[in-house]
Amino acid sequence: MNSAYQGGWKRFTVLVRREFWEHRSLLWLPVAVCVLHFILALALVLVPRNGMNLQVEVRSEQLTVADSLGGTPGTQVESTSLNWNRMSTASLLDLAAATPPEERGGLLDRLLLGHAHLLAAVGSFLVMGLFSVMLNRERENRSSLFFLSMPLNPWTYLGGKMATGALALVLLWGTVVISQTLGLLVISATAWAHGHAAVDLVWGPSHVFRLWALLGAQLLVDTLWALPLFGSIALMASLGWSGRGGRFGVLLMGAVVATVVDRLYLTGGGLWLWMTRHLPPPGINWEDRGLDALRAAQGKAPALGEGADLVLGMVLGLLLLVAAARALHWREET
Amino acid sequence: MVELVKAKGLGKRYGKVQALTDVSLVLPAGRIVGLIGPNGAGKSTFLKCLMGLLRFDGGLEVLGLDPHRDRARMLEQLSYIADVATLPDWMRVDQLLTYCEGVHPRFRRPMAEAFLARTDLQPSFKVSRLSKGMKTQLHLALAMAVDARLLVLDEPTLGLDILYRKAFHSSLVTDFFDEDRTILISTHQVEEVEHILTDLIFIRQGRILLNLPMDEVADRFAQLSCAPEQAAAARALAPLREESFFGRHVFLFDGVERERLESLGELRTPGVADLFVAMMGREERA
Repeated sequence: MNSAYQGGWKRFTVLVRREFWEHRSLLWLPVAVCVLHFILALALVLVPRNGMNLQVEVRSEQLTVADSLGGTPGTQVESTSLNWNRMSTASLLDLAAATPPEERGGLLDRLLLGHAHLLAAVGSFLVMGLFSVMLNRERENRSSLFFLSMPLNPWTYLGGKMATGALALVLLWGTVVISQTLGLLVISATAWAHGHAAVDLVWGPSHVFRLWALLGAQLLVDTLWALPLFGSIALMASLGWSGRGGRFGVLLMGAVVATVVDRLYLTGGGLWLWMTRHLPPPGINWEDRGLDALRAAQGKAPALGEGADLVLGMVLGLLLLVAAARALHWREET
Repeated sequence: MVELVKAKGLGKRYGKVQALTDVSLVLPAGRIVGLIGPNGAGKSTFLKCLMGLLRFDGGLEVLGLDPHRDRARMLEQLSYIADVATLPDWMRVDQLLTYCEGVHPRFRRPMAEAFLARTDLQPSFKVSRLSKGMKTQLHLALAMAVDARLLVLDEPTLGLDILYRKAFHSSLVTDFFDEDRTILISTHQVEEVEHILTDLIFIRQGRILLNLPMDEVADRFAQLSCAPEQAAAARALAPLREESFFGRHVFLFDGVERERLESLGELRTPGVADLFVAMMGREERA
């Protein structure tokens, strides 16, 4: 008998290590996302801009904050609007510094988090997409026969892949959190160098731990978003559309599915808001100022469609995965 | 007699194609069995059924277990080598050892390392960089290190040069085989495994044509080389196959008494390759 064999957890760790040996990208992807995020976050905050989109977005947040503070929305919006227009060619740092303290809290972290959201979504989609590659590559180079000759329960094998995905997400989260924090530190230093009150401007009254927790929740929900895409790719791979002649089909179908998913999810327009309402990090007081005030203002009951979109997408993704497994089985048997 | 594999009325259909039909056989412990058949005969399908990779009709028991339902348990005592392309290219030698050690309860790493120490393979070598011969050595080391009772080989030496093929077959006998273990080899290169086989199975179009121990081959089959004037008499005994070489006629007989043949010419036991060709020819004529 194998004296080193310990089964259970030890076997599981070997299965996870095996995935990382095969998919080096699981390691460099989070680092790449982290570096990209750090650079873009700095650019967003430090580089002067006059982008209309950003201005509109900020204005819209101000509107909500103003509303939550109990002011007269019309008056607040007008003054805020003038305020932002006046600062439209400044960097976000300057914009934040020019914002009254009671409206300032959470502004930067909200902007940074919103910015991280895009990269985190891309990252989580990529992680999920890698699963189809995992299965597909084995089939292509026949190494599946080697792995299938090992005494492993299929569920253990699949569990290893799922655990790898979860670990990859944690890595992604960890690196983005690090880059986020580094970004905030650099911004703080810059603010301090320009004579601003860095702690007040960047760190307070929001809490950096809350950003981390929200980012983790974001990654989780984004991964669920990726389920339909992953399911469709797995289905196409199992139907044999992954051959040389079928790659175009995969891309085409990917675009079609992405469009459908986009229509399905994004017309609700509120998954991010849905998440901020439903996935509060434990121990966070939602009635604080700044970002919390913003959330409190939005704290009305979520529209049914927003939550249903996510559930519908998950169900669709799981159905596609089941169909992929069935199709694979059918092809092998026939 | 311990029976490691028992198949009864085994059948497998791929859509409209019947890949296996009513296959019944028993593989006891302590045998080296050659599974020989032309392309598309059903060899790989049979091995896949054996490995629990395909559903099938009829009965099949491997190491006393249902290969489909108890697959993981069965594979603890079964080693499998397909051709060299099945080792994952992206893994290193030491990673393969770590993986096998981690997931296989009967894998003995020291034994694999001892086997590899006799080769030029280094732990840091990546599989994609190895020659076919080195890959075979590596795969063999992994398979040998499993304390398995049944070793299944599916065209294991395909694409290897003669030196590696000889070394491979030699290792099977000296390093793995004993009276408690059975080796099942599916191959086209029958001449090279002939000397190590204890049993012979011919398969064609999903049916078993022949299944008998090698020592019974000599009792049942005979090859007669005779002068042209004896050919008519030999032909009258319904040979399986007839050939002419350098003015002499060579016949292969199934179940004809040796005494009747000895008077016609020179007799010897046919090789597995000759026997295979003769059996396939008879089936085609039929």
